[in-house]
Amino acid sequence: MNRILLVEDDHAIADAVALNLRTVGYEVAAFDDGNEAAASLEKDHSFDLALLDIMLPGLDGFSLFSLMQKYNIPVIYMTAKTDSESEVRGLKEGAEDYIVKPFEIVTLLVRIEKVLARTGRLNQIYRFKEFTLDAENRILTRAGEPIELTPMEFDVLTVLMKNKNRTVSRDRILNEIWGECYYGDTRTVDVRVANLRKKLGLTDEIRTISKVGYRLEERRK
Amino acid sequence: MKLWKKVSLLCGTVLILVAGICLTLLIVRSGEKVLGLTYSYAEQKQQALVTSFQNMLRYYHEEHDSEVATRSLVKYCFSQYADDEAVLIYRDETISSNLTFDPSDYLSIDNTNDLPYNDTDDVWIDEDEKPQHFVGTVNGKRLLIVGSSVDLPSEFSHSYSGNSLCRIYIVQEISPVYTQIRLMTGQFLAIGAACIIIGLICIALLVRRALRPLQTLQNAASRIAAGSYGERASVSSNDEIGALARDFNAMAASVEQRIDELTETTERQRLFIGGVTHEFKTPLTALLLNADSLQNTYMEEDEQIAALSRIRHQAHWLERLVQKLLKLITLNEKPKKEPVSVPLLLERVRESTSDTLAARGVSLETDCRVAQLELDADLMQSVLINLIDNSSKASKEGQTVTVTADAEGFAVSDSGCGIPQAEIDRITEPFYMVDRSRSKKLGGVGLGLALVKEIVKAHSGHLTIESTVGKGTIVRVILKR
Repeated sequence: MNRILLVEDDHAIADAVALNLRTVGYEVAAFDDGNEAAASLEKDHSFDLALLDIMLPGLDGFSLFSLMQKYNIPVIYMTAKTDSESEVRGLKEGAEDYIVKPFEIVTLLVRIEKVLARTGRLNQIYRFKEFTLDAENRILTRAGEPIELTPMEFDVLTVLMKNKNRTVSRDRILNEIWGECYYGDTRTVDVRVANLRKKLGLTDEIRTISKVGYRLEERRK
Repeated sequence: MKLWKKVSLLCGTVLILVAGICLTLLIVRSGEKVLGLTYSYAEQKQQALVTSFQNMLRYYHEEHDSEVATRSLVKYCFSQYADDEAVLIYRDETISSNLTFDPSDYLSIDNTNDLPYNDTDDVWIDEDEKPQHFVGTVNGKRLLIVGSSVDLPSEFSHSYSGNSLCRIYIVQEISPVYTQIRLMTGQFLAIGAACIIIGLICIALLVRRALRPLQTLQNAASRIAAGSYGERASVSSNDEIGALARDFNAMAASVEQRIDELTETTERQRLFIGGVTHEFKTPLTALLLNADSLQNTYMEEDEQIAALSRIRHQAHWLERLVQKLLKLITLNEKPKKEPVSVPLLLERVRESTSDTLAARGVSLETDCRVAQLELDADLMQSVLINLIDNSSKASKEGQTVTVTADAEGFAVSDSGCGIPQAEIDRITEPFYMVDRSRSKKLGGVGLGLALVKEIVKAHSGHLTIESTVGKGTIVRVILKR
């Protein structure tokens, strides 16, 4: 499980971001003050990624960056500043990426995944109930027992498990598998999902969200 | 055509006209004078000849001389005084002439009106009888013929029945005189032309010099038109152009000032709009993220409620931001100043702030030392509410915020956390917050003091802020300087 450090002073934003990150399976430590984040880093700095706001009470995002470098934590800035100066500064100093407010959660998730993959930190093992999916070695097991899937079924399941508890549109599933340029028939997705439900017995868990797509739901109660 | 050329041309035309008339008059008069001198010289010569001739004749004349003897005497006497130019016509006979023509053909002198010779007068020539003259071309030569009849004693006219007994002519060639006149005319014209040319050049130079400040002014004007508003015309003459330049510079200065003001306003507005955009982004992001979560993320009910309440909170905050912005923007209208009862105003302020102050556990004290002030009650109420709100945010529970009113204006003081000295100058800037997250938690949008400053400015007053960190802050609204 990847650990993400989130420093953002606006609680409405921080809460929503943390909620979504946790939902898809990241472990999140959130702070609303630069000084507090810095103090806590001294004790615990085993993070795979830091999401930093630039304007922060206490130490600002740029000041926190040197700490991140010390602990070798890749940084994505979240900023409301659109002026190119701060972008240039952020990237020049070695931030992996930046995302400009307002942004969509999907975009944030994709960027996080890309940075983690690029820095070789991406956890490619996803768990759902008794299933374990190893995306790197393309192995799916249920309670240790391997299950055979077609390549297409495996890819669709990977996308659903990566976005656990979040709705994924059919288009996005296709894009994740074949890339942005593919305009395939979305019914191929429906066929694979039907197969997956049958083979894995996840009829209720893989929910159809009407007119949008599918959601792999893990009820937490 | 340039103005200096026009003026020069006009002056030149007048100069040529006047000089032409003067020159013509001069030439004509001079010619007449020379001719007149020539004539009178010839006349004098003729008269002298006549007089000498008469005197001599009188001296040698004897009565009862024979006609032949008389004729010889006449001839002799004439030859004593005559030169090449003189001609004597006696009894229609031309005597002693080198001429190939008869001058009486051109100048016939009729002496039928002559008075008879009068011995007693002792005068041989009638004073009134001026010699007559003729000017004409004879055989290709320009000639002046001056002649008159000569009175002789009566016995000379014996047996003479002609028109004129005796006439003496002076025949002079006057072509050289005309040549002289032509030469003189040429010289006059040459001198005149030279004077005119020198005059024209002087006029052009002087006019150009006189109009040079105009050129300077025009250059300055076109540089200003091209955008360099700091440009001024350096014309220091005391004439109308100098006055024009001074007025022009005054105009340029006021234009520059206006442009500077506009530029400053535009820059301020640009920064303000940048600030507004930035301020809107944070709540919008929160709204989007939470709505996105509610739509796409599986959430338990309590999580959904939390997300909804975040959305509501952000929407409220946005609403407050919009309200304050609107107030700030519509403040351009002049405040309606009128005498307002200050105790009443403070009472209204106390009412509107009592809830928030109670929630923060802060009490309000008012000290009113003035009955009436000239101000816009609604706007000033908003100023005081904002200041009290700020003070109460800075105060701890149990502390007191004091509002003082006197003839100068208002003062709001607290014993709260204070403002760092370096920040005091910036806190009236829109969206500037000393402690951003704390201020946001308390619902601040960062426009309160900006609004206060604008309102006070609209009252032509000013704002002073004194603060010591940890001890408190006094904000004074000074309405009368």
